[in-house]
Amino acid sequence: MFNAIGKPIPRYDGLGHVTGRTIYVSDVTMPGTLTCKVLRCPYYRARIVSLDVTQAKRMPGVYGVITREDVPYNRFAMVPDNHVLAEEITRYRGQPVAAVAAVSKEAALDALAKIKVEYEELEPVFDPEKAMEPDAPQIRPEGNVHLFDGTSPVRRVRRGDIEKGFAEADVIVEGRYTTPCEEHAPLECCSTLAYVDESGKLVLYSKTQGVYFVMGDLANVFQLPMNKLKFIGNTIGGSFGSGNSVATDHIAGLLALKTGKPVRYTLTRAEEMMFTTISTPWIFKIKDGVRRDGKITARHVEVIHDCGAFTELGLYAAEKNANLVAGANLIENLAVDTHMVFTNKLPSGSRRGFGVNVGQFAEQVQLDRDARAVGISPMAIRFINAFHEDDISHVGNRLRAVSTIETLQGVADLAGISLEEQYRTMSSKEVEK
Amino acid sequence: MKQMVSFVLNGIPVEVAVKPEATLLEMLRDEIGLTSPKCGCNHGDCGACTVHLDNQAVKSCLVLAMTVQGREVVTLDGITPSQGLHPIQQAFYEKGAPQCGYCTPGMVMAADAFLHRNPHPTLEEIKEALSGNLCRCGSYEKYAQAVLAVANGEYGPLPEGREQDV
Amino acid sequence: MIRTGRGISTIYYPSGFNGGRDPDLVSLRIKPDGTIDVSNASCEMGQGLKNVVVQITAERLEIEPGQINFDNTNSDTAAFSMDTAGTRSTVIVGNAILAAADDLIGKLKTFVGEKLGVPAAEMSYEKGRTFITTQPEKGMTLAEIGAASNYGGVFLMGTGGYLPEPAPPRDPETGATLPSKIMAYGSCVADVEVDDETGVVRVINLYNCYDMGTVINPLQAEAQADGGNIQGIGMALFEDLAPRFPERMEPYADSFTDYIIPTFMDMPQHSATSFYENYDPNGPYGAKGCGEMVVDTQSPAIVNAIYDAVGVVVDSLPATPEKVLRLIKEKKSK
Repeated sequence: MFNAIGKPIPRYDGLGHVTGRTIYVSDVTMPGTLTCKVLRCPYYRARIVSLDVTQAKRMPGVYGVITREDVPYNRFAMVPDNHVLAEEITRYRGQPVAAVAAVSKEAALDALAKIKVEYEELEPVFDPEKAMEPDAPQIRPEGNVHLFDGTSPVRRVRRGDIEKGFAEADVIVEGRYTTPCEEHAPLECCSTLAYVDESGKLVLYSKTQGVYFVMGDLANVFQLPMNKLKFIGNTIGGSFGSGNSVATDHIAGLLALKTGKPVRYTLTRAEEMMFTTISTPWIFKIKDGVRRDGKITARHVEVIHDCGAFTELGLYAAEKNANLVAGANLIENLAVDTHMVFTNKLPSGSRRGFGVNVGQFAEQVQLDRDARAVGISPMAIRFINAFHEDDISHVGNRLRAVSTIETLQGVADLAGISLEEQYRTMSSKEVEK
Repeated sequence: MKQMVSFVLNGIPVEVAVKPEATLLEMLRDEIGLTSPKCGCNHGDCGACTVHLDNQAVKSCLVLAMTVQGREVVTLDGITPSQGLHPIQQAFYEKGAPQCGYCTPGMVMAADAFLHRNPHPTLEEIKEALSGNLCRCGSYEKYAQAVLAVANGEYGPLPEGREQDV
Repeated sequence: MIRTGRGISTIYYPSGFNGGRDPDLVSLRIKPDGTIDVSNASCEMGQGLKNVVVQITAERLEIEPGQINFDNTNSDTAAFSMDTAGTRSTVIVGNAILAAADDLIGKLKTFVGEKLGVPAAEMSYEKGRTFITTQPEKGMTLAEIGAASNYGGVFLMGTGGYLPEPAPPRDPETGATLPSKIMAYGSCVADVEVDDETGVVRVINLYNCYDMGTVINPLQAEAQADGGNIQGIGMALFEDLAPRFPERMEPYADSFTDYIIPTFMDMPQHSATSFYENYDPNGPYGAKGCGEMVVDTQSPAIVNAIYDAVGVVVDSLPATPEKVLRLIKEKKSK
């Protein structure tokens, strides 16, 4: 049927990969490149009382030292509330405070040691449930709880009549599920080589996974028009969402602009682990009403997304999660209440599965609890509640090319599970009346 | 103060000035400009920097450059034929094992040293031998199957010229 | 004692940004020898974008994949891409390629038509050749067009874009919106062994059936699925930067020694993936996105299998030996 599609054609870049000839951002060198190192706040939450870089600037081999005073526009990220270099209050351990560009790694580290910072350590909050309490330390001027649409502390999804649904249930099943702080851990650490070209354009060899996703943001930080900013890259050693957040481009770029020399800023593995965005923790409380025949008559999901210190991509993750957390099941009576809370940990980045796999973990473990509560098999409850073609999703859009039933049948086949007749012959295209 | 170290790199005698604290990985990448050994952790955890030292697979981030004096170092560049591919490279390529490719140079080098040591391994032995090489894309299945296919002779004999480990 | 258990999960995942509004643009240019340059600024991070681009372009232009060159290397020359994320590139770049290819074919018809004195409407395009519909022997190949256009001072470039339908503003009361018109589906069966004396969990079998619509490249789809299994096992069993959270943040992992990701030794002993190719009319040639969908099924299936093996619900990821053992002990003491 197809000519090129469906063919197992080896990777376009496969020869480069197997011979080691593929050039990644961290492989690129330029003569005269300076090394960048960053001074990071050692506390989870602190007030910077004083910051003095005078001595660092005088160190041998140092070409540039920058603090927030040197940043044309100090706010960045998808929701631009993150700080390129720390302002008065720091909100997570490892927040960048100052950066140095020097002739060598050693010279840069020696200079960092000469930066004088006086901190007043402030009480941090890590647990999102504690952060929601009124007497919790307020880590943002706007408060710890995000206001959706600028007004509501809760993102609501509502469908049907949840009270009626619970009344129709034979059993009520409740569960609470949590996910931890998870790291993307691409094998190539985040890296930028920045220089100013012959036309005065700032060029960034960047490990970003979205050159245009971050371009507007960075143009704003540098206060440059987009035609004075060029990204080179787009062949990177893994990302898994980490490359949607800027970790090195802004600081390397600022130092290249300041020094007029090429600047390389590469994170060590420890920095990549400890100081780049993560998949922050989630809490899901699910209450299901289940009928004896396995039909879920009502579901209430309460979600708490721990967004970390800044919004980054956490709001996007919370919104996406709210749409999908009720799972690939037709739940006629549904309420989802999502909260997003700020705490003193790394900001919530995008990580493969992005707010969805965490929610579907909770939902699918809950579904097994539901099945046990009414004494049916885990397979049966999934067939009984599955979405069908043209069903309306939990947030109101019509579903096309639906395959819950068919993929269950397919995996049963792979695993050698013999399905009962009614499930073996079930189809997404036909709805039982 | 840099010091001179002489060794054989990919069959060619070389003399390089390095800082005494430099690792073999730093010497290869920063002093010589060979970028096929990758730096994934600089800690000996990930194996992306795997090269051969006297025919043994080593993590070059754990070897001090000065210690290769008088020894033989082979990087992926040294086993890549000028035309075509080494059987392990061919198998990885055809079976679609690499995804981002960042672990691939280390994976080829680890697999090559292992197959010279154990030419007829089981799948379990392959997994164990390569377990010091991390792949975050998670391509282990295709890597392992490709190495097994090479061991089964599906991609021709491994090039000679490597001594068996004792 | 080693106890075995089996668990199931079923999930779905949208293609494209939440709520749409994430366009991509593509340009197709013809070189003097008739080979085709595709331009788009999406990122190749291992997921296999480049083959997807090449294979969709080759399909639409009915030429060999080897005749296509893909340039995404820099933002000065590559056409706009919103981002490489959200399981979006196959669908959105793919649809943009189709639009650009249609535009190019239209321009080829005009170009060749003018040379032959025939209106574009009476021209056809097939297998790289542009010809008069009623006189198929009269026409030009891509190589001939490439030379005639470039050396003739005529810039033949096909351009196209694709914008997924923007969602309406979310209703504040019902939450109604449009996350994505394209949803991929997946189901999983996991078999595990749990040592009830140590709490160690091993994944024995992982079976997945995925509907990612039409599979563009089976090698890459399998690699994505295999990789999803490995990352899913990591999420289920190992990965935690701050294992004492929420009590405290320390210790916090700073290396692969402390942050355990799966190795070859953590592979399932047996894994198998099948594809149910449910053609999606909104995707290019019926394709859906798959990148993030393949990392969702494993953790619930594994946790459900642990329950089947030892009767405890690990409701907090990851299912470390410490946690599993504590739950087993709590269950016994009841």
